[in-house]
Amino acid sequence: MIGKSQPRIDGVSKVRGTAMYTDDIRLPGMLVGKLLRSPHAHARVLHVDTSAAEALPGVKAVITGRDLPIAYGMLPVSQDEHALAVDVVRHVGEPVAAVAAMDERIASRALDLINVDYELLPAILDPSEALVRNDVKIQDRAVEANVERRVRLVFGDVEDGFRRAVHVRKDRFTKKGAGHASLEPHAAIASFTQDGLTLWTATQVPHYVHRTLARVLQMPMERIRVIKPTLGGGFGGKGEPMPLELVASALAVRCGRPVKITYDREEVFFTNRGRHAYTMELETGVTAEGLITAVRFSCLLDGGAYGSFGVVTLYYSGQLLTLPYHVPALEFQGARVFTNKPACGAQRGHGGVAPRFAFEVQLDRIASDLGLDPVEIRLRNQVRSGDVTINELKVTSCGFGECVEAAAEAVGWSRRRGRLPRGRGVGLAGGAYVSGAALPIYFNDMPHSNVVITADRDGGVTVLSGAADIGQGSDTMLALVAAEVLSLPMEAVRVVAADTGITPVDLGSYSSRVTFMAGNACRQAAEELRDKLFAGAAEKLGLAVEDLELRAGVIQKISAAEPAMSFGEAVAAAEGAGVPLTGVGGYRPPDLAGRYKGGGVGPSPAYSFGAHAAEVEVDELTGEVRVIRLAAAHDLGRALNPVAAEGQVEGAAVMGFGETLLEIHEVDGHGRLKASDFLEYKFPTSLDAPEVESLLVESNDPQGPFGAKEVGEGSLHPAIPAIINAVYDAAGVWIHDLPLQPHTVRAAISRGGS
Amino acid sequence: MILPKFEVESPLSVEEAVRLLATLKVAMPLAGGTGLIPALKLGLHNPSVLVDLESVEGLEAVDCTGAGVYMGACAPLSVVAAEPRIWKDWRALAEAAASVGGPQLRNVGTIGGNVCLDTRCWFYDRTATWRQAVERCLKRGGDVCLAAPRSQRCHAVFAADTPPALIALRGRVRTARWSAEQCIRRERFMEDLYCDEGSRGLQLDAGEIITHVIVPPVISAGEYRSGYLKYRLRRSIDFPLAAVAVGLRMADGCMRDVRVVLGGVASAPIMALEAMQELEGREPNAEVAARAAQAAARAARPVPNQATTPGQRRLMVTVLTERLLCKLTSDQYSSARRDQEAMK
Amino acid sequence: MRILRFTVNGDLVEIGANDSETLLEALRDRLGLTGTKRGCDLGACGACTVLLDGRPILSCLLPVWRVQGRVVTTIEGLAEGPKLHLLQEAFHMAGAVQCGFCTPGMILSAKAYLDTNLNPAQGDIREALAGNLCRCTGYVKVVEAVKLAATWMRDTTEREAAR
Repeated sequence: MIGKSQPRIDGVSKVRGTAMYTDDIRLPGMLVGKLLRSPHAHARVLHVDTSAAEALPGVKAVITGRDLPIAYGMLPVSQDEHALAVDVVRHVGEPVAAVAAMDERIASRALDLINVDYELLPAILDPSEALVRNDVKIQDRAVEANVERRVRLVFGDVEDGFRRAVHVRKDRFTKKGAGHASLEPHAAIASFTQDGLTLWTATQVPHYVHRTLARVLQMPMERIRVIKPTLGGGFGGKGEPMPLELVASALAVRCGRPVKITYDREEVFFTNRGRHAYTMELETGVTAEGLITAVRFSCLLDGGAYGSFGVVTLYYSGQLLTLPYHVPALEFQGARVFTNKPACGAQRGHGGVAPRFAFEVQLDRIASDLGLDPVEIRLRNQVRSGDVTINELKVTSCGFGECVEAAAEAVGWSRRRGRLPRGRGVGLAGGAYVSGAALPIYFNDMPHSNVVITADRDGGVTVLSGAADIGQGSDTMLALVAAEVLSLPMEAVRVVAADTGITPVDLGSYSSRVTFMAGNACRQAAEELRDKLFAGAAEKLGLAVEDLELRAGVIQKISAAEPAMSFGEAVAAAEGAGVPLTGVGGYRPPDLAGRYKGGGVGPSPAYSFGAHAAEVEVDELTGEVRVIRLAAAHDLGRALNPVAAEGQVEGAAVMGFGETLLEIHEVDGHGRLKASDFLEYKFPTSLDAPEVESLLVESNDPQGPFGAKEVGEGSLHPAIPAIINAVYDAAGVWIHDLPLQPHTVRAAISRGGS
Repeated sequence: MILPKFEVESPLSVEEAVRLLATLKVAMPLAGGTGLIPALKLGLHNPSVLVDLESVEGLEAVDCTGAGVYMGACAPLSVVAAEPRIWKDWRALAEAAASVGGPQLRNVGTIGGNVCLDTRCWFYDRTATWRQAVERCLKRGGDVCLAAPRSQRCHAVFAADTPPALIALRGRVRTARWSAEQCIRRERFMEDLYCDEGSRGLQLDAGEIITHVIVPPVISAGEYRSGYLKYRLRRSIDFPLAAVAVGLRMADGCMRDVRVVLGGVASAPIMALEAMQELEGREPNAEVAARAAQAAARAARPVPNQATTPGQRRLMVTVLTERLLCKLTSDQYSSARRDQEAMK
Repeated sequence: MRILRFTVNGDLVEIGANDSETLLEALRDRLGLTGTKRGCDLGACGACTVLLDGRPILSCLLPVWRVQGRVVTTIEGLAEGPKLHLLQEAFHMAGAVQCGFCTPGMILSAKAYLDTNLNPAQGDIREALAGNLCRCTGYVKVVEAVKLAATWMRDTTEREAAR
């Protein structure tokens, strides 16, 4: 079954429109919650007068920051957020107060009646100002100016590397912020009854929401149940606890009635957690043959007002530079600063995207300087299976070279690169990404993914997993893995997932970890169940366990023609022992962390590799760039479900395309978002998106479930530099600033090159 | 997002519609609603009554059987864009109608609504939370233009697609209003509806509505040609960041009755008079087209209140004008050159 | 509040609705037809697409009183009992669904299009779907699904014609 395309197990309900997303749920007596948001980028909240709002008929509760005084945050080192501002607002759109009312209209009117006295504070909107300005502190925990964290990591002998280099390039690159723009806005419904608190929420991380609710509401975890209904896209935007989850819960507790909060589109943009804006300096030395001798990289990340995932983003920015090319020496310096903007966090391809753009474009420039073919320089420097990088990343499987060759071949590289008519060009770039992080976000020794499988007496199984299907298809992946091990048809496997009241803990859908980790846990659970099944059947049949095999839902003697026992009979036999038949599995990554501070971010049990080739058309008069196609090769270890894997590659590639040409998440001089709706936040329509040819490369990872590695995020990385490198082939200019905009392309053309 | 509370009146005739608009307090006319409904959700208007023109008998028809095109104000843009005769004889209009928003929007958005589309601005089409912190702009009754603070006027952009095309085609509108207990109708040139002041709205009397949009028949002598080109960052959904419509007649190898009209680069559709003069009576060739395109760009007045840069938008006026002229007349280039060579 | 009578998915319904209500709100909140999604609420994403008298429209922009006496088709109205519409089947089988939030609107836009043309060119499919944003698929498999459905629907039409 593995390796053959399977339709999604939730596909029919999605095409029928019956899949229940959070906002589709309606509970008896449900109230509508709404948040009042700050119009100011930085201000002290002197007083919040809620009396008029409370007096409005139909209003059931009004709360402010004082009602939820306990701070929280995604990382243990950044517990700096409140669901509703306490004393200070740090960006436009930060929630200040909330109401629960009979309907949305009353709730909106109530918000209008809340009077907030603000004392305006100077706002810092420029990250370079945040680096040095001591008189304004956005977060008290910033010791130096408004720097959240500075990182310096040195691996190998960098000075010697540059001395050995025959050619050294130093370039500056920038990238503006971007947003996830999931089609489904955030939504949460809380219900508080005798059984405790139940929260249905559009989240990628039910477990972290569970922990955060317990902490902020001061309620034991066993009194809280977090359920993720069908989810309409995440990409990192629903990857951490959000104010609406805490506020809906607090309001439900206060009112004794269910409360639903659904963000409008602007509120989603105010919430952000998208890609950081980057300023980068990259210096690379190479030998005459183009072999990399040393890399020096520094970057400044505009973090926005809160920590979010930012420290991890910062470490990834440097740590992932040692793949997919052999880098013998690396010096990385980076800083993440606070500014008065919606906080940045994790977005698909987390941390590696902007640095990868810089690296791949510079590598092409180096190749061009040396007269080397860009494909050739990549193949010469490629890491290989078994390599350990200078920063201790262990490469367990690697199909990078194959990816480069496949992508190049797909666009006719050898006959077309440098030979197309002016205005048309092809370009190529590589990338690599983690299959989940080796370390959990909060320190513990427990498994990162757990799966329990129970058996039905008539021959089906139920997979219980905390993993969150956010649209990527993880529920289908779990069903497939269980079906494969147990030799059952897909229809015989039911998946119950992402319900903290029922399913065992899984850390959630982030850092592209689910197939690898939950897939391994599921495989282990299914194997345990199978072993118990064999034991029961063997006893009943009077055969040895070793003599049995499972085939198409029946147990039989190996290579016997006649089935010996159906799956259901075997379940009954196994349960004859007097206990239910279950299998459990857990996945905990091996101890991979580097032995240095920061060595916890970057290590992964396996890395995916990829290479994209882009074909573009550049209108040199207008600066418009049209991407005709992307050939996207991705080493995913093994394609468990090829159609799903291709979908991930295609989606990631087009998201990368959007970030290259269109998408900008930034604020104006008052700290207000320039784009806060889908008219102005321009992500690709069907007419903009290029054709994408996905090329799946299978390197069979020894640790992956059936050899699989990540496929959800890594394919975003190479798309961006592949397009930029193709623009050079087409128009002879190097673009160092993203997104590439028509006027910047024109400016580059009129400068004549760089 | 919720709509403000309002009542709806569904008149059956134009007379009834304009009488309601004249007599009811804070009443607004509603055509397709694809422009007004978002504006209402953003809290930009607070009408107590909407007078729904869709219920008015006969305002949805598109008639191009006689001379010219006669469109009811409530004719959906998709109907206009699907009419083969419009593609054949008044191509600029078809191209403009087909480029509005996305397919679903064109099924509801109307020609009359598009003609009346409010001007747009980054600083205006925003939620209350977003607008709250900063002073009121001119378009919201304040006294500063947030897009061009040193200016004395509002620079909100006229971003409807069909009006430039309609003006290029010498379109007219028929309007109706209620006065002295009767329905007064009049006909006006399309270009007289607009003024290059983003906050002023249409040049209509209070309660006056557009009932029909008319494009005159193609001028008999010679061959009439027209087209519309639009610049935007995405190929669908987006409003124009710059647009150009051209209408002209080829007679004896020369361009006659030329109109070049710009959209998306000022607070009104702009007739590029200087460009029109460059072209009028001339034989078409690349050089003439380039000169006219330069002249057209001089008529554009973009400010930083839309995506991309004002410079890019101005450049696109040049490029699109030149390309459109080339598209419309390049088949004549060679013959003109042939004639020249023959004369030598 | 006014009483509205209209047809939804083949059934005549009667609802009370406020004037300042959109069709999207009425479908989701009054009729429980939550298959129609609210994505941007300002007419720029297409998640709320339904068919009005067979043509795709944005229900977040349509005042509900407009549907008086008319025929509305939502995603829930496409399948016949357990039998999926061929477009639904094709979306499912071709991997055109990921998160599924754009899917109902996407399928309805595609249906309106294929109802007028069963021999679509690649570019025409992209044109027909140009008002439906998708953030997951990059549109690749969505376009493939529409092509696949067109093939199946052509076969069905030919079979029926042959009978």
